[in-house]
Amino acid sequence: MKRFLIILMTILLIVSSRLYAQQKFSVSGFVREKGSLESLPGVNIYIPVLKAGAISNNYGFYSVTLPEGKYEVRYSFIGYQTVVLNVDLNKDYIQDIYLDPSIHLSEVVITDQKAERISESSRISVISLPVQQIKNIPALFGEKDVFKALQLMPGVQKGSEGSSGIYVRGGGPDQNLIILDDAPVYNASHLFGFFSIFNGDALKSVELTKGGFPARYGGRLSSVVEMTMKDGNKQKFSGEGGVGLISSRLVLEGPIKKEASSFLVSARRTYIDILTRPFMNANAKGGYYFYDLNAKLNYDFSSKNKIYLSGYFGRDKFQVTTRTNYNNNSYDSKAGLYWQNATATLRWNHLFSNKIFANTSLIFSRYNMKIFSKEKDNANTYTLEYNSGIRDFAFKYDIEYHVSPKYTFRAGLQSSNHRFVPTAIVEKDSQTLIDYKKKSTYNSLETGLYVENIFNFGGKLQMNAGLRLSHFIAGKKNYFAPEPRLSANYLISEGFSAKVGYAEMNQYIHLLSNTGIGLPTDLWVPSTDRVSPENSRQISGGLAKELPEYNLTVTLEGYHKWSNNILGYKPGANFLLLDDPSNAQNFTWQDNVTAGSGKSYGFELLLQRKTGKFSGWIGYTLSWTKLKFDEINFGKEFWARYDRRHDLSVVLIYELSENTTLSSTWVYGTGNAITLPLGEFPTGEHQPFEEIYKILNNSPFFYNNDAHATDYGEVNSFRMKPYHRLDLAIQFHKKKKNFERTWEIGLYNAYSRKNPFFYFVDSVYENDQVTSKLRMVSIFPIIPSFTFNIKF
Amino acid sequence: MKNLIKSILLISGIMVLFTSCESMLSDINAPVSDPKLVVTAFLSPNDDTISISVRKSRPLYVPTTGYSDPFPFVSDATVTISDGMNSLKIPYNVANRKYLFRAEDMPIIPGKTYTLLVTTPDGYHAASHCTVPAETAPVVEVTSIDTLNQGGTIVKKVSLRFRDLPGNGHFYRLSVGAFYRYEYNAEDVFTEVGFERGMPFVSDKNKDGEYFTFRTTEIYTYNTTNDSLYISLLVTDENYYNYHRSFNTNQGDNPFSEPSPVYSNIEGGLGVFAGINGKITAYHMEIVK
Repeated sequence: MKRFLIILMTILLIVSSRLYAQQKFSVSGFVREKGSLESLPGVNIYIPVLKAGAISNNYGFYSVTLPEGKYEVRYSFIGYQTVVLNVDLNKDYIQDIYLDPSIHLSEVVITDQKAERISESSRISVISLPVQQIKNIPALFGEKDVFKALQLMPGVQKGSEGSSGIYVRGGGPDQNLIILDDAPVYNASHLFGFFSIFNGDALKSVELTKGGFPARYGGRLSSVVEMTMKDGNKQKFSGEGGVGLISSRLVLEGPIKKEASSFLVSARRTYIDILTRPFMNANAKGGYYFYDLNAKLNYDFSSKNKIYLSGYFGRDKFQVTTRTNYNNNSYDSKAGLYWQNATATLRWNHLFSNKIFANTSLIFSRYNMKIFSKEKDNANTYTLEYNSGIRDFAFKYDIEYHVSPKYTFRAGLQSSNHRFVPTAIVEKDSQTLIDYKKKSTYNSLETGLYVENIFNFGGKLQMNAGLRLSHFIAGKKNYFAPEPRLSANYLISEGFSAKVGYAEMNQYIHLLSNTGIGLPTDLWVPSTDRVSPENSRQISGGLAKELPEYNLTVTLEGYHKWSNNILGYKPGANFLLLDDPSNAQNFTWQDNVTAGSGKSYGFELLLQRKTGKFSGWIGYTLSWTKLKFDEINFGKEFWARYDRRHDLSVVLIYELSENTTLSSTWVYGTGNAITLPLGEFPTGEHQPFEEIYKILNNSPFFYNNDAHATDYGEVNSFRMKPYHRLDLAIQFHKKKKNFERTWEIGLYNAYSRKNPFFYFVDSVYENDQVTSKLRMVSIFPIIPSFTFNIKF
Repeated sequence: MKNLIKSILLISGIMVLFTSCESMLSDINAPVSDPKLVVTAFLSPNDDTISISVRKSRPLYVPTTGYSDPFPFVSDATVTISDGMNSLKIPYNVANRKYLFRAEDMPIIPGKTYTLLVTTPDGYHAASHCTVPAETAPVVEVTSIDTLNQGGTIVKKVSLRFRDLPGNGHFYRLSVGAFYRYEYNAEDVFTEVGFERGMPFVSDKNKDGEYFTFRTTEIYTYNTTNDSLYISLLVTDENYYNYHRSFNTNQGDNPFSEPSPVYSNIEGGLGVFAGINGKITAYHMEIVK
């Protein structure tokens, strides 16, 4: 560790000592979309003569410092026309760039572009999801979903059928850091995990990091999903809406003060409850709905100061009410399950100079869940309420110093106060006079301090060497860990490069989940003196190749990840307080968890065509994931439930004509590893009081009762059937005078494959014989969908 | 509250699956397995007679005739125990349906390792070995007895503790029981008592030399003449601990949770062959107030 730091500091010193040898000037500014003035992150800024450049940051800011001279600077971004700027650098230039979103570019123009060349980026194991393409991919019930689109990428797997949780390189859904405009999102699912809370309408970019993490990210073991919300159109009022089978949505955006300030509001609500209400019994009503609300405001005070305020609020509500009448008495009951996420971020971008960009964020995030039951008759009332949740207040400061095209320095600090409420119970009964209240809370402080050094050695070798220091306090317990990070890219030839990455990660907060399918009852808890932080080390390496003649990029990556202290559940542990929330009084999660280790390795291949009439990708993953816990499977190593040997996704989008888009996805995955009951046997449990029973029964023998147990064989040694599915969609676009409308007809599971959801053992009585049969439950057969979208 | 959960699952199921039907259920070819030999035996230096149970398991996914004898007793096995020096062929006892031997024929000595071999004419072969704990069980102290009046019924809750033996690798099982008078025939009935604090099976992992504390649930003594609290503390081997703990927590109802297999140290079969050391002590509850 010490040696690593010394090397880092030496490199830093050598590089910085060379910086001021020559007269240098910078060209800097913001890159925006022409028309809406939406800032564009990830734009490639390239100076061909130097074979070097920069990439615009999350706020669209870029800065390149060069020796005095004449240069051609190219700004390119996928889906936009390239802008070429000729500068005669004899002073510092501030130049905002406006890129034209050219939707129907011919392929020839595209191949000419040097947009987003993965072979020239130092980053490894990063997937930036084209938000526009998500809208073209077929989806369950026509509900476009960012997380389900991510599941189609190599290295990312879905859990069970329909679930929006993601498993990245063998890590569970709890090991993903999901950030929306800097705010962590703690429960990203609606409708018991079938939909994620992100539909893509309000999002500008979605980036998934699977390995080689830059030091600015920390706090989870397996992945970072960073989502940036759109700022809102600064020029004119515009909107987009859609009506689907189960929900409707609307996005409105526009200027508040032209070119200086804008807003965006996006909302979605399901209407299953409204559609089913007429069919319900008057005395018993049940209903479910969820809604999402995204909002963002921003204000440019000057070219040096900008402020953004953004927030998300979403809620799921499920409730049942009943009313019974008897002998002039009435009995009412109301019970429900609510869960909700809220995030808010206030950010201030400040430019200290043309080279130094800083951002300060104040962050709030909260997730809470409530189960309640109220009963009332003429004389008595009974109330039971159970709450749990997590709440964060955080401060984040990041600074970027664009020293030269050869060296960029980034550093920052993030400190979060987490307040966990694993259980809060209120029970009141007018009959037995129970008035019980209990609330347990844990407070903790999580801090990360990082530096990143981004080098470019002669256009051949790029490197990001960084270090993150992470710290966590819970009660009297302190945890501290240095996390070295490194990613590097070596350009073997034009458009062909080799990449490596190394990252150590620590996770101080844990998710207790009984099901792994993303139920609202899943519970976040902190590390304590008994439960240590989880940590992982990952190495990854790969090759990236551009094939401009086919407009294709190919990446091949291998990885090996070792995880320690990962949380498992002791056999028979139960966190599903739903069964009986009053049990939560005796809830002691620390007794029910056990620490173990995990090992995952594999290869990922991605063949991608981002633009053109015919676009899409093929992703293939070959992977192995093994777990080892002292208290599970008697200490023997076993396959993880979602260990998946083969995982293949084929996504094809074809623009048949200007008005018609065809799309299809086909996925295949090895079946989940499950533990299968094989037989039953008598346990013959030892009876310590055998002697007493013998005397009492006046018998020399003791017969123990025939208690029996299930013989399960080894943990996760049986495989479910493989999963495969074809989805199809066709979109009809039509441009009218003031708006554009799109009809979409989709088909989920087009050949109605019966995919496994879960297996169970059923006993069948036939001809005086009992046979146990293994049965598979599938949930989604072929499902058509219709959606109408409008954009103005 | 349970109804709420059921309706949540039901209604969400209906909502999501409105297009699905019975046809979404399909049969899967499960791996058909043969019955396995189930061997259970516990060696204690305090027992006069040692019994070994040999039975067969019932495989799933194959037809079974009724439930009359789901786990057949195996009476024709060759069962041999050896202590490394001597070995003894154990006869089958028809009345007890177990293989029985007297301690005088093969003494069970603390600290000694025994090997058990079971073969059957139909080709089953099982083997196992275990070591009888060398140390005798520590003394169990009764630290308090609370007498409570529960709606007119007097009940007791007893707190107990014992101290772990020095050194690592100790496993214990604590059991407590008492008599009460069954009014119908005026006979005393023995019942085991559960714990509201403490677990019956414990290991000294990370607890070397420390106290284990327990508190019983309500003990109903009624009108019995026998006011003794019977306490059994066994020092056990790890096999005993793993085996009993694993099937006490073996829940497989939730299709999403990971079911836990039952531990076994029987090679070629199921069950357990374990060593224990300890005995029952009686404690008069009236003495301590």
